[in-house]
Amino acid sequence: MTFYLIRRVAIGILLLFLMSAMFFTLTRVTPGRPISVGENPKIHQSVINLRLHRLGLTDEQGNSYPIPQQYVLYLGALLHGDLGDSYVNHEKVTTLLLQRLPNSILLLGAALLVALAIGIPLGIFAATRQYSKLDITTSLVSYVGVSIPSFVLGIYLLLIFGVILRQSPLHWGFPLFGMHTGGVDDPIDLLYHMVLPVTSLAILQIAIFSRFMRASMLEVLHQDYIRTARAKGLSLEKVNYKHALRNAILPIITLVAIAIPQIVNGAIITEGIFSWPGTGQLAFQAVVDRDYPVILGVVMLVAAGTVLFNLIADVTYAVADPRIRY
Amino acid sequence: MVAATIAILVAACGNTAPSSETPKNGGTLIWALDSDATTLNPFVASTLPEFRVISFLFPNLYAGDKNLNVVPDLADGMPSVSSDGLVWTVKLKKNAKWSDGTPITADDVLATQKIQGDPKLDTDYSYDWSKLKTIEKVDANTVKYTLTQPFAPFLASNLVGYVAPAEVYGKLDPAKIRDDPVSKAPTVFGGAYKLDKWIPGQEFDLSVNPNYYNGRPHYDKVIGKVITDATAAANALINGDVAWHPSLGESGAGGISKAKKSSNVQVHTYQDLGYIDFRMNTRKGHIFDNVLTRQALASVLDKPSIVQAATQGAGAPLWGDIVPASWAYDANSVVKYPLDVNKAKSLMQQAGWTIGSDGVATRPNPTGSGTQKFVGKIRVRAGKPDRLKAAEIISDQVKQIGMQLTPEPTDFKVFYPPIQKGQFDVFIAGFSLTLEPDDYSTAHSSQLQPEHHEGQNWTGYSNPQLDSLIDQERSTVKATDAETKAARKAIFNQIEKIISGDVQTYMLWADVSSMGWTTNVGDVVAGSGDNTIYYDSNNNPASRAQWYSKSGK
Repeated sequence: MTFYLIRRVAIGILLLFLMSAMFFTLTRVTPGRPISVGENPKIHQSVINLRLHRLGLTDEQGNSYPIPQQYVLYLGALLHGDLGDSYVNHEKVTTLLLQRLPNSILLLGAALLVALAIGIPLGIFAATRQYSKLDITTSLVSYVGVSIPSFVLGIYLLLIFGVILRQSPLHWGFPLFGMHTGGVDDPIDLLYHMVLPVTSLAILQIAIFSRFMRASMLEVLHQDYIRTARAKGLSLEKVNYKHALRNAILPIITLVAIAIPQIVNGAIITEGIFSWPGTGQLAFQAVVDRDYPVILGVVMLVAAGTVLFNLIADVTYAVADPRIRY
Repeated sequence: MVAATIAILVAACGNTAPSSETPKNGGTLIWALDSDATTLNPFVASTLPEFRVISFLFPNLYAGDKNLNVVPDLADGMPSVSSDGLVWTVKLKKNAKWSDGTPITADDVLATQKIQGDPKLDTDYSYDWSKLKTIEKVDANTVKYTLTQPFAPFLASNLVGYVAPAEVYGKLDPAKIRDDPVSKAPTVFGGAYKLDKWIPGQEFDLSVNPNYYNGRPHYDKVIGKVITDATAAANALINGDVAWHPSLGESGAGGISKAKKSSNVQVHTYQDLGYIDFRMNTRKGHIFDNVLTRQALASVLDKPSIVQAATQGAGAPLWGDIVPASWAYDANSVVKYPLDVNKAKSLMQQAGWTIGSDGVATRPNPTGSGTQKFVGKIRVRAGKPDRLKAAEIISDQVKQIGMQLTPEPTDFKVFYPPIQKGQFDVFIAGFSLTLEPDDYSTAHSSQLQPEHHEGQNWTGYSNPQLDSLIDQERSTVKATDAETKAARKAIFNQIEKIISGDVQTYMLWADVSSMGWTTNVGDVVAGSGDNTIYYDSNNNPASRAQWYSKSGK
């Protein structure tokens, strides 16, 4: 197990290293400079030099560093936890990420929890009552859920609950934009503002989790040891929830492990629709502004998260299933 | 100082009468911002959302009134100008104070100018103090500007704008001013409000500045909410979640008409200070180097239908480079080219072009041997559907006279560098205008780029007669602002005749904008042409202090 862990961590670091080199080079060879001279034709050359130097692109005299040298500088800073400075905000990328990360974790974390809390029981419920009306209904609804992109759903939720209902004589519905003043100070108000974005993100995940849970549960339920357990006279509940569930939940662990790093990534479109100040919105604005250090920062964070949580998922397997040995 | 424009709108309609109620204090004004700011340092700010927030926080020396005439704000009266037009003396309101209780004095005005005029100031905003010879403090409340030559745009371009506290910004190195913590968290304010909190990506929380020199503004608090989605922002106004939406026009024709139908909303729609044009490279050897060719282009295009199709009504066809919102605009001074395909064909012939069997015009190569085909590209910014649509229609209509022009959508970051090097055929671009109508930087031959180091006359157009008129217009300074404008307007009329007659650039449309308020906001007053431009950005922040909440909330 220890050797396995060391090997996995080493591979993970190598992967991150390769990804950073790839993304770094891509952002550097894209045409367009971080400082657009057209914005202020009078800007003094020494100021441009100073700015480019601060961004790690040139030496003090304004001579461009070659890309490999820029990468070495970037990597050196990265090892010290420094993701560089934003071209646009003139602030450390780590500072910007730390400002936005809690908001994304709150939004996507809540959506994931809601999806798990509803999706898993729904899947189990459908599997244990295969071909019942409820199973068919759940399946149909999940198909629809999987098919609708969350941004389309977001716009419809916004239209129905944020516009039509609120502008109707009912005057009832939910706010159109994200966190309100004092959101953090007023949890009830915050929850009220979270309803629509969380719903639009969770519906898709509920559909996925329930589909997977159902399929996985059905596979296990048809195995011999389940029949044996039933033949021994164990109750249906005990067989389903003790013997079957523990095995059936394994694939879900991978799904959740893949979903968690996405929390860091934020939900680019959904955060845009609901004006939620998370990392997704930050990444989107960075793409529009060609703010490469910020894009690179978000990409590296998601990459690191994916590597880490996949590792955690593998370790969790061993805990959930004692037969798995590394 | 930040330039702002003075203008009189053409149509005098849609004035909103001030409310008969007595304004009361209290309540919170929540307004919509379409994107976050990156700085709250007035010297560094360069985007509209940044100026919108900053305008609540810093005093303005002069401002534009509802009809966009320059009026005093922090200044006590209009500047007195010497008879030779060289010395401008400005008095400040006595007893004006910063939020920390210290007086706002001539020292602050001097320090602000010093930073703006520093060639090493790290900003993307362009400040031009080249006509200033000296600036002196006469006494604590009086500043004397001496210019190198009489310069009429000085009032609207240099004196309309913010003043920052010397005590805070005067100590900073202009080359490093961007990175100082005060850029993110200003500490001393002189505008109607103070900044309490900036939550990145979310909002700006402001509260009333008790020391404001124009007296207490009515709203207790002002909250700028970042709402990135234009449709959501328009609906937020209709729902009453925000009370003011300065960029309502961004939500498109559908959003505006929905807001207009709502009984909870008051909307003002007006021609703004910005235009879109089709800018040709007129340098020798380029396809548009002959004035007759450019006139042929103007005669073959059906401008009203192009503008209507491209903007869906959000643009007003334009013939000269002075927009209707400006006081210098005169509809009769411009040369208009009505649609006339036969005339266009004959002009092409006179210019030496003959249409070949493939439908493309050719002429003997003016810079070498062989022939030159009329083939070129229309550079247009990607992500601007109205401009792209216009490029497509133009490309189609000019085929009739053998012009083969292909639209080439290009990302903004790489849009300008080839243009600044003179390597282009045509580009469609948007120009945001200041309140000063002077067209020196885009039309004067000293502003040719890349021939000279600065300027925005990328077309290569050079005309000594036009240069002389522009120089004359800029140096006409009379005893009063009204007299100066009247004298300059007569010269502007001659300038516009040349620019439109020679098709120095083919103008497309002037932007039409909309602003919306909920009906709970009292004392919103529109100027002529239903314009509310003066409420926006730092045109006239003091005017917003008159608004009040009818419900008190």
